[in-house]
Amino acid sequence: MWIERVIARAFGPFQDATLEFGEGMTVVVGPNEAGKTTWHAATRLALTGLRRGPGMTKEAHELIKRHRPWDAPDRWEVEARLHLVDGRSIDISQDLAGKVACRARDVVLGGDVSSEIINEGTPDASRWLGLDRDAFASVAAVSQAQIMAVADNAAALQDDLQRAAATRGTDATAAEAIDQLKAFRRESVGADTKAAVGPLRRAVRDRDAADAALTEARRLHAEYLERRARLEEAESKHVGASRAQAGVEAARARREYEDLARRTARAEELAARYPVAPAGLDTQNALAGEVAAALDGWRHRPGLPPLEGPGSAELAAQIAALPVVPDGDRRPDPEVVEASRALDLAEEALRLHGDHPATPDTIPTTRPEKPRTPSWALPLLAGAVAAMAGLALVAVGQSIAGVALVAVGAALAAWGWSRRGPSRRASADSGAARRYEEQQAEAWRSKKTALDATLRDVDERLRRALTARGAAVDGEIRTAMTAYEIACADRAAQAQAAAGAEGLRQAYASRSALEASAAQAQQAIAAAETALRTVAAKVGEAADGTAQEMEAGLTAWQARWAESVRGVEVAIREWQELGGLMEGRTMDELREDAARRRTAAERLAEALGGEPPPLAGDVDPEAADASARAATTAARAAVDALTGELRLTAATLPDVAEAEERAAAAAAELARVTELAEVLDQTLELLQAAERRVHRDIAPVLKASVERHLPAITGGAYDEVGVNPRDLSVDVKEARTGQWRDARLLSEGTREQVYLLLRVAMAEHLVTTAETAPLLLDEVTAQADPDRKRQVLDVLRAVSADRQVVLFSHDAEVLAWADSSLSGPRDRVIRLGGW
Amino acid sequence: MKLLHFADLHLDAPFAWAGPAVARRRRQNRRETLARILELADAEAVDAILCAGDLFEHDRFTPDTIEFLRASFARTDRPIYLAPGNHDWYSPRSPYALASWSPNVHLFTEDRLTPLTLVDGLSLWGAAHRAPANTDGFFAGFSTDRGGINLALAHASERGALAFQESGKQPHAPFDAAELEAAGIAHAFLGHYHVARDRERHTYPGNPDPLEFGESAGRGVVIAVVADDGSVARARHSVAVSAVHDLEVSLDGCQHADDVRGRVGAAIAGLSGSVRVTLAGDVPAALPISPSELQPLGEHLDGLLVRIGALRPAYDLEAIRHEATVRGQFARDTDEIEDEERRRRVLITGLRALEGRRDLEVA
Repeated sequence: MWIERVIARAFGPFQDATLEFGEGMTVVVGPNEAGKTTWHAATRLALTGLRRGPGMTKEAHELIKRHRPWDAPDRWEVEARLHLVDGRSIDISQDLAGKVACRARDVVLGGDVSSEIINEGTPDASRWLGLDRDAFASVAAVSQAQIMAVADNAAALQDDLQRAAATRGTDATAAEAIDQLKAFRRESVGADTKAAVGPLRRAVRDRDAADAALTEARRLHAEYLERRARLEEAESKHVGASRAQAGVEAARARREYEDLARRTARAEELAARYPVAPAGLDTQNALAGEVAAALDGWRHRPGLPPLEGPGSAELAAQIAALPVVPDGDRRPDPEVVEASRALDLAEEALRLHGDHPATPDTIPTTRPEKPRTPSWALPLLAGAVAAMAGLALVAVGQSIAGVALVAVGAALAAWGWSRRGPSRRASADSGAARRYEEQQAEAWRSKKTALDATLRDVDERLRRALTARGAAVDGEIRTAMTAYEIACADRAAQAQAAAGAEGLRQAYASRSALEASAAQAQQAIAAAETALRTVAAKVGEAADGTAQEMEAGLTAWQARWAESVRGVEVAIREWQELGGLMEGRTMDELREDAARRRTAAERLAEALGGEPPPLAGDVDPEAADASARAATTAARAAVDALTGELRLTAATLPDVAEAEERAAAAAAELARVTELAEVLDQTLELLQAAERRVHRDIAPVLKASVERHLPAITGGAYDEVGVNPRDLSVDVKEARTGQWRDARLLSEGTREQVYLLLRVAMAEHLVTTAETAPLLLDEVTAQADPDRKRQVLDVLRAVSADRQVVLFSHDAEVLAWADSSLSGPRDRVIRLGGW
Repeated sequence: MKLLHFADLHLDAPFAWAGPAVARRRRQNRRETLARILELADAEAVDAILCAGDLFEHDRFTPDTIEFLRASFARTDRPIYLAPGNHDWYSPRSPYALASWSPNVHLFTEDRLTPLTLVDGLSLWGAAHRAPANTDGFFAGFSTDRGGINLALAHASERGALAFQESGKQPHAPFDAAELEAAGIAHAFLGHYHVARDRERHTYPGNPDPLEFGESAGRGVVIAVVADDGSVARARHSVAVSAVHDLEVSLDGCQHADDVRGRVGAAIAGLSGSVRVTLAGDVPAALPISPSELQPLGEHLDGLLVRIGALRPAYDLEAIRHEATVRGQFARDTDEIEDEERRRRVLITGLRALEGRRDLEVA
């Protein structure tokens, strides 16, 4: 696209003034106030127009303020003729005041092509470049102010670049946008950690609290229903208990009424029978009592005990006649008896030993005859018999005698045995036999000596035993023994006779007691009889008859009396009963009471809805009533307690609907914040990715574009450019040293020139159509020295080979350069203000 | 016989969109609607009042609400017949079981149709939901056991109306309309569907007081006159206390925030009750729109809910997408977002951020 001419119909101070440009480079020079800036603005606004309606940028307002005709503000018009790369020529006219008569027209075809480029209500030729009016100003128009801004602020270069890369220079840089998003996220969402206090965590906590409150509200609501149901149940139980109590009361009232009715009826019966009180029985009762007592005394008189056998006197005499119990043995002492037996045995043994003497004189000198009987056999047999007898005595407890007899028997047997050997040899040898016989005789003599000793021993022992028992032992021991035995027998008989005294004494004691008892009985009987007689005289019965007669008489009297008393007793009992029934009331009062109770019972039954079941016979009405009342009271207390609980619960019951609303609101707020966080995060992610990608794309473009002219524009000082894709920071390499330097640290002049080249590069990059954007430059060489100025102008001329460059300047050096350099048909030099 | 039929009053139901004061006001309005219903019953001298369920919300009722119901019903001597629905289902712990209702209140408690005699020759068969869900249909296989005119009162879902009714309705106690005739029911007075619907043999009165925004017209109570031949003549009456309005306000042409306030204010100026405003239209990209900042415009209302609808900030997105800038790349990259609404929000958020704006929350 290139601008052929601009016609300021009514623009600033210009009226129908025209400026014509070359397709290549046009330099418009003039002194200050010659209108350069006005033409710069007119050219721009002729292309882009102004938006219709509110929402203009501050810069647009500044333009309006500066360039709207003061004297005729309603007419502010500018036109331009453009040539597009597709061959069309377009006349575009802008009604900058009313924004109504704005139009773009194809010069050749005459058709209105405004619709192709309408932007915010008015035609905007920058649309053919893929820009808009705001972007065009940032991209295609470079002002002195912008140059100076870069000169003053090194960071402005990079900032401007970023801004252009982000939004074509109209708005924020991508970095600013990202920072803003992050700041907004921090402020409007906050961290998602438990300790965080930002909106997100607050919303989470609020949601949790609201959910908890809702859960609690629902729980309390359910609890309320539960309590309500329990109250219902308690009320039902109370009703049941009340009804049961009413039943008991009604049954009790019925029973009491029935009891009273029975009593009243009975009272009426008795009152009719006994209009007055019956006569008393007091006096007669006393006499009857005496009769009964006398009869009772007689009938219960003691019996006489039988007195059989000898009397007490006789028994006493017998007792006096009894001998005394003798002292001494009444039978032989066992030691004496044993000693006596031992003596007998010893004597017998001696006698037996003496029957068989054996002496040397009697021994034959001729061959002995064959003994008719072995001389050893008899003593052996006698010894055996004696031993066996001794053993028998030992067995029966007669040990001393028994042992002595065994010793004797053993001696005899030994002796007999000793004779056995020699006798066998006697027939063979008479010398031997004689020695044998001598031996036998010696043995016999020895034995006899022993037996004599034994006899003496046992004799002495017997004497001692007798003496110990108090017997006289003078003379022959046998005589003493016999006398002792006789004395024992005598004492035994005497003792036996004396033993009967104890029995007699006991008999005497019994008999004496019996006789005393009999005497007492006799006295009692006599007293009873006397009492009978006395009372019989009182009642006029046979007082002088026998006791039996009196008894019979009195008994008959009693029967007669009882008969009469019975009748009176009944009357008196019934009278007393009547008194008890009346209890001090009159019959009318009793009847009234009964009627009242009946009414009360009927009323209670009616209230109950029917007759109550009667109380069981063994049930205590009072106890039943108390129990029923206690049950009712307890049921009532339960109802009251539950009612109180329920009332309290109801009063503090949270509103579930409100809790749900709060929970919903909290959930909605959390959803809002969460969604906002997700949107912001996704926006950040995409924005950062877009920045990286665009920077990555644009960096080499910028590098190539700037590098093309950098050596020329810097006089060969710098020959390479580096553009960092991350942040579009620019480095340049010093040709001499090869050092890379941050463009922000370059001299102002160099920085301006680099900036200018970058702006040209951006203009090239940001135009997205096939068109090329014309560059409208205002005083961009003001800060450069003459050499640098020339270099810049040479570069701009080179650029103008590809795109229209229109340079406005007040600089005479620029004019001089233009006059010398711009001579081709594509270029023009325009002098304003008389230059 | 002249009957007043209503259903779905939903006492104590929540209003999630409203603040506490507005929600309470709306709930109070429902109580006043019941008062109007009872007044209308007196004015029309009806012979009985029928309520086909969802009178209150079992999970949310307050003791005061139940006492209010009890006292309200006790003040009239007209018989009131109640057939519990899926929101006020009958159970031993239900207020229906625990409250001491006045003698004129007759409660159906079985989950099958049981009869009450209204007058000689006219029976009312009623059934109750005994659980919040999974209640079988009452009419299939059912047949009345008596002559005369047999009416029905129940909370039930006529299958043919499911598509017609508001979305999300579950078929509680479903039935087919044809089952009514087969069952010997001359007319069924029903509840559950909130949209008013009159058919030959059944009537849905609709909810008598608005529950949501955008409800169709015609909802209220029905005065039904049952003729001797069993035919029913119906007349609908509105008893709603709550005024509810649902508006869309176009912001086309608005250039700044005052324009927006003026546009919304004008739209709601003559209204009362609760109003939902949906903002739509093409607006300049730079125009900040904050629903919360529009709330004060509704001070004369019971409640104002402002939401963003089809609002299109006037970005030339086509041109932006063609830029060789970060903005252009960003705009192109947002095309990858599948969710349309998310895409819109991310795009506008990014564009605003690149404009240097601080209002980066896009509604």
